[in-house]
Amino acid sequence: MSNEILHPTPDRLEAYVEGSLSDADRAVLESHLVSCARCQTEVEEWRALFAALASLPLLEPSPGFADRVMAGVTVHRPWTVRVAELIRRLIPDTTKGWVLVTAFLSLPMLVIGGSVAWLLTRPAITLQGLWFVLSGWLTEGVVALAGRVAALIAENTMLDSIWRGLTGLVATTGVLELGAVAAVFAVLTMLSTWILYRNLVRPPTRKETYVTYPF
Amino acid sequence: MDYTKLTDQEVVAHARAGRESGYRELIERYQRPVLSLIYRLVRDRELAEDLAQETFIKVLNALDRYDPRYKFSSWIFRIAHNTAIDQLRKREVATLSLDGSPHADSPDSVEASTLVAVSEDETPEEYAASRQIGEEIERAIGLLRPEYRTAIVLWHVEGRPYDEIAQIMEVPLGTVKTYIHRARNELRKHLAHLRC
Repeated sequence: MSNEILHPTPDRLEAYVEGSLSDADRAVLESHLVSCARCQTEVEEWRALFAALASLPLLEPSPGFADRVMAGVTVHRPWTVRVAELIRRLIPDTTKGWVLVTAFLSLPMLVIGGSVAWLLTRPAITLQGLWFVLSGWLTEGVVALAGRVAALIAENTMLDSIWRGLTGLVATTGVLELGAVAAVFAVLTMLSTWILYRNLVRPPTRKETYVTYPF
Repeated sequence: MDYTKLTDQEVVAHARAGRESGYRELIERYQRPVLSLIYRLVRDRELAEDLAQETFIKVLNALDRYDPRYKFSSWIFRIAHNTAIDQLRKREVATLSLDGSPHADSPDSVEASTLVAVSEDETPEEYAASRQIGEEIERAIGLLRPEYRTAIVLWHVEGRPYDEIAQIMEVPLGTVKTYIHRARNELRKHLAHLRC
């Protein structure tokens, strides 16, 4: 019993080295250690064990470990991520791509501008006259289109509505004009399809890069 | 994508969003600790690597079931521990393998199964001395019960607190403390011959 009082138990010495004693207990124990060679030796042995265990190395996996793991893993890609990736791939990542997109977007302006310029070279056509005619067509077209859209909405049978709308549009606008518009849209559609093909089908040039680790 | 400043939970969120780089970051963070823990349980280099691979495949394929309120490390260590314990139950692996797998039957397989540790720059003498001490410690750990090995490695090598070790091993906190206390005392006995 007196021995217990004079010397801390091995458990307390272990707890001291582990650092789990309270400040008060640690102070009491340290005051004992100053004058007790036996307990100092015991503490040193615990410290040696702790140091030896702490020095145990971490093991390196063999080369290609991550690749072998990933071969067995299914990466789930939510639809939001897939849509985001699709949008990212539609955005050009080369100067050539941007030139094509710019050309695609500016083509209608060029077509309209060229047509206007050509019309203005005709002797009988003035700018004011052209504006008068075009604005008239535009107004009539918008009104006619709005009327047709309203009628289409009012119709219950979809196919019938579409057919009536198209025939009505042809009747009010004229086949020649519609043909010209359709030709322009056909060219633009082919161009946009080609741009989509170039951006979607070819391998993406933006790749995720990984740090290469020497294992 | 620079993952170095992200927490495990944030990296998991990236992986769940479908980014393969997130999965690879989790492997990079835990491949050494997981392999080391499993190796110290089964003590066979080749087998440990197979089980570590199995652990990662289980964890990464079940990421959608991971609850971010808990530590990712606890989850992956628990699966690693259970995977290794299951293997030990199937097959007795009792011989220390610092010098190769006990099941290696050719020089090539011995070499392939030999432990390769991450070591600091050392002189040949220091390397030999530290290797000998390391071998003795590994051998002594190998003499412990498997649950003692897990507890002692997680506390001393991984620096995990008692409560996390209890979560990993799915035992009460007091049991973990008992495991570690008994394991240390056994290790002291096994390593007593090293004292000068």
